[in-house]
Parts: sequence; C-alpha cells; structure tokens
Amino acid sequence: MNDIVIDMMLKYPSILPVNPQYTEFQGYLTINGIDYKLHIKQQLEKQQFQLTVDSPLQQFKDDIVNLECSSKSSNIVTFLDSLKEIISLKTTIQNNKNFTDAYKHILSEYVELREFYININKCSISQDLSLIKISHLDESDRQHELEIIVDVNKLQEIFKVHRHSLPEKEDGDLFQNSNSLKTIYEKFVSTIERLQYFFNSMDSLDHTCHILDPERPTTKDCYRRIGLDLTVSMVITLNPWNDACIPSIKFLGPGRSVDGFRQKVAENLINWQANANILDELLKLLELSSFPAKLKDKDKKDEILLCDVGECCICFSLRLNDKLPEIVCQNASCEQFFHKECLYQWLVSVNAKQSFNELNGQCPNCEKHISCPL
Amino acid sequence: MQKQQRLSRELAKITQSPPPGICLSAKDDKLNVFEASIVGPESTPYCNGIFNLELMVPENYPFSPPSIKFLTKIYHPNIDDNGRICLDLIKMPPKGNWRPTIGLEGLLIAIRMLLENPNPDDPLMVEIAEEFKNNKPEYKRKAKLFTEQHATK
Repeated sequence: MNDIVIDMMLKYPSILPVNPQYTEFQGYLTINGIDYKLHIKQQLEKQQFQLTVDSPLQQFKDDIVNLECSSKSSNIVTFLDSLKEIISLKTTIQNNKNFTDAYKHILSEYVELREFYININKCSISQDLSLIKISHLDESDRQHELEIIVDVNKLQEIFKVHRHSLPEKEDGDLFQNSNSLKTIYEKFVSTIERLQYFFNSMDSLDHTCHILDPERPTTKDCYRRIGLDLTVSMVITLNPWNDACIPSIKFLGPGRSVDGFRQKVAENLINWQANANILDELLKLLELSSFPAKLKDKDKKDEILLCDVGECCICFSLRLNDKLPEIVCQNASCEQFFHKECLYQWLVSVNAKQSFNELNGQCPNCEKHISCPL
Repeated sequence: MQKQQRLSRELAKITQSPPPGICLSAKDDKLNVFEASIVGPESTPYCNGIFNLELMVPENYPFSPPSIKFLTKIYHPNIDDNGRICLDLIKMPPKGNWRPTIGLEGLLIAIRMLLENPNPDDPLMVEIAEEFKNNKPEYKRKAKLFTEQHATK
C-alpha cells in the first residue's frame, strides 16, 4: 500500500480501494450532511481520474468534467479534496437547513405553557424535542392524556396531536395542527370540560353495572355492554358530543328474553330525560329496581375454564364412561390430554392412517404427530 | 355422547365470561340449535350493527363442525345472500380446518374477525370481493348501508 492510499484512508475512511493496483475506488463522501456514493477510476494511459456520475451527483456534472480534465497532476487525495470543495461550495446554502429557530420556538412554547398553566398535572418533553406529553386531571380526578409530535419542517403547524385519550369525533379530527402549544392545550381542556357529562355517565355505569365489554374501558370508549341477567346483555352507546342525544340501546341474547326488554324500551323511551343521571334513567327505561351486581373478585377467581388441565380437550371433561384421559400429546409445548375414545373417533373421522395396531394423525390441538392405539 | 357434556360446558363458559361483542344462547333444551349475536366490530362498516346467527350442532359434535349461518343480511365478500359463510374453520379436513378443540366460542370469534378482515381471495360473493379489492370506498358505503338497513334494530 502506498502512502497516498494510506493518506486517503485516513482522511476519507468511508472510501476504499477496489482493486490491488489502487486504481479504482469506491465508497461514500459526506458533504454538508449528505452522503454521495462514489466510484472513481484512475485511467493510467490518460493519467486522469474518472468519476461515475449518478443521480445525486448529476447536478455537478460540468464541474466534475472540468475536474477530471485537470486531474492529471493530482493523486486520489487531492482529487477528493477538490471534489469535496466544489460540492460543498454549491450546497451550503440550499442544504444546510437551520432548525435553530424551530427548536427555540418549541422550547419557548413549552416553557410558556408550563409557566402559564401551573395546574398542569404532568407535562414532559422528549430529549430530541420531538414529542410532548401532557396529562390533565379533570374535576373528578380523571386523568386525560395528550401526545403531541413536533414537525420542525412545518413552522406554521409545528405541533401535531398524535394521540389523545378523548373519544374520537365522527366528522374529522378533534385537533388542528398549530404553531401554538397553548391553543392545543386550551382546546384539550375545553373539550374535557364539555365532555364531563359523558365521562360522569360512563364512570357511573362502570361503577355500578356488570360491564362485559370493553374489557378495560378507557375514556375513549363510547359504549358499554352491560350484563342484565345470565343470558341477556345490553349495548349502550352514548354520543359524547351531544348530551341531549338519547343513547342508542341494543340487546343481545336469546330472542324470547330480549323481546321483553325491547318492548319496554319502545314504551318508555319517550320519558328519557337527557342530562339526568344515566343510571336512574336506565332503570326507569328497563323497569328494573337495580342493576345486577358486579361479579365479585372472588367469583372471578373460580372462573370456568373451557378445558382444565388434565381434562380431555375434545370432550372438555374429565370422565367419559368413567375413564380418565390417558393419551397425552408428545409435543412438549402442547401436552394436551385426550380420552382414547375421543381421539380415536376424531382420527377416524379425518381418515387418519392406520399402521399395525395404531392410528397415526395430527393432534387436534397443535397439529403435530400423534398416535392412538387401537 | 360427548356432545351434551361438552356443549353445556361451552355454554357455561360463554355465559360467565362472554368474549367481546359475542353472545350465545341455546334455543332448545337438547342443545341442537343455538342463536348467537355478533356486535359489528368498531372501525368497520359493520360497526353499530348487531348480526344474528343460527348454529345447528350435529349429533356427532365435536367430531363434525356445527353449521352456522347469518340470519341478518350482511354485505360481505365471504357471506352470501342466504347467510352462508365461507370460512375454512367450519369445514371438515382435508378441505377445511375444523378441529374438535375449536368450539362454538372460537368459531364466533373467528367470524367476528372475518367481519374485521374480509378475505377477498376466497370469496363467496365474487362481485363484492372485486369491489373490496378495487373500490374500497364503494364497498364500505354499501356495507354500511346494509348494516343500517338490516342490523340496527
């Protein structure tokens, strides 16, 4: 390796020689934050360097041709030096974007927000200033979250609401992009105030009724599925944006039991009072004296499993004609139990192969090989 | 023989902790016919709709799958005018993928997922599948209209 090549590798570590004669080089040249892919050939007979010009370098084509012609007396290091100089002169203004103003704006907005609204519950900004998280406690101590992402490329609408814990609006987004954090925050707080009746109603439902759906209700969810008795449940959907709107009520369950409830709703719905306590209104509507109590935590513990450990996972029971499940799937991550009778019947019904005195097929649980003695 | 035992177990489980948006109850004491309701999944055109289904459980259940059909009209690439559903889980192997470990609850969950993610590559309603692939907004509009007309009672 000659000195020049060593010099080059020290100065431009991302460019490497491609052949052992050191006449061809390849790699990247970083100028003003932009990487240019290079492929350089030294033509020995002409004593010139030749540069393969592809798309990002196309704009400097004329300069590169000039440079190539005048490269007779130079070596690879001086060639790269002059190339770098040419490109850096041409690109400083257009590519060296200055985000200082944007970042100053973000920080001053953020500081101002914190100073102005001293009662903000929690407020944080990520280290690279790209994400702002705000949480707000309303009058009933419910926590509401807001996440704002920062787009430094758009000064006029630098703050964009990325996620929030409020219910969605059917007709478009709740928040508009803005260059003021305060505007967004004020909109957030005023929306929460406007939604108080909705949040209170949902909370009282969650508190009193046996909620089947959603599993973990959030402030975003506008519906609840409430268990009315063992078989019937009711889906109630509120319109958070209009308190005067009568909630939509639907019933799930066996037809004969549901019809009774439907009839009551049809008769009593005219007496619904908007803005009143939703629980009272619902009881009046359904002609109930109280809602079925929530399942106690204790009850939840002995929840029925579809198929308990040790039970046959075809008939979902332990004893079949007084026999216990005796076949276990050999796959270590499955290890399900089967009654011989159940497994046999299944393998026969899918035409499993018989060899000697056993049936060979797939485990109905994990689909790995399983065999059943005849 | 396994049928009664298994169905009463399945029914107890689904009554005690019903899966999201699904409701199942027996129509007769012998556990041959069931009725089920599926709440249209959110952020789909079926949202806010309640779809009723009928399940017929064969004598040799769980070795053969139940037959399921929609009673409520629905606009969907995999469900036809008579409510028949194109789903591999309710067909016997080798054509289908039924296994005795699945159960009624599992099937209903799978059908609800089919509402969320229609499978236009294995359609029952070819025209709707084409529309789903090539003109989503129109498919959504029609499916929503169907939901409003037939499934919001």
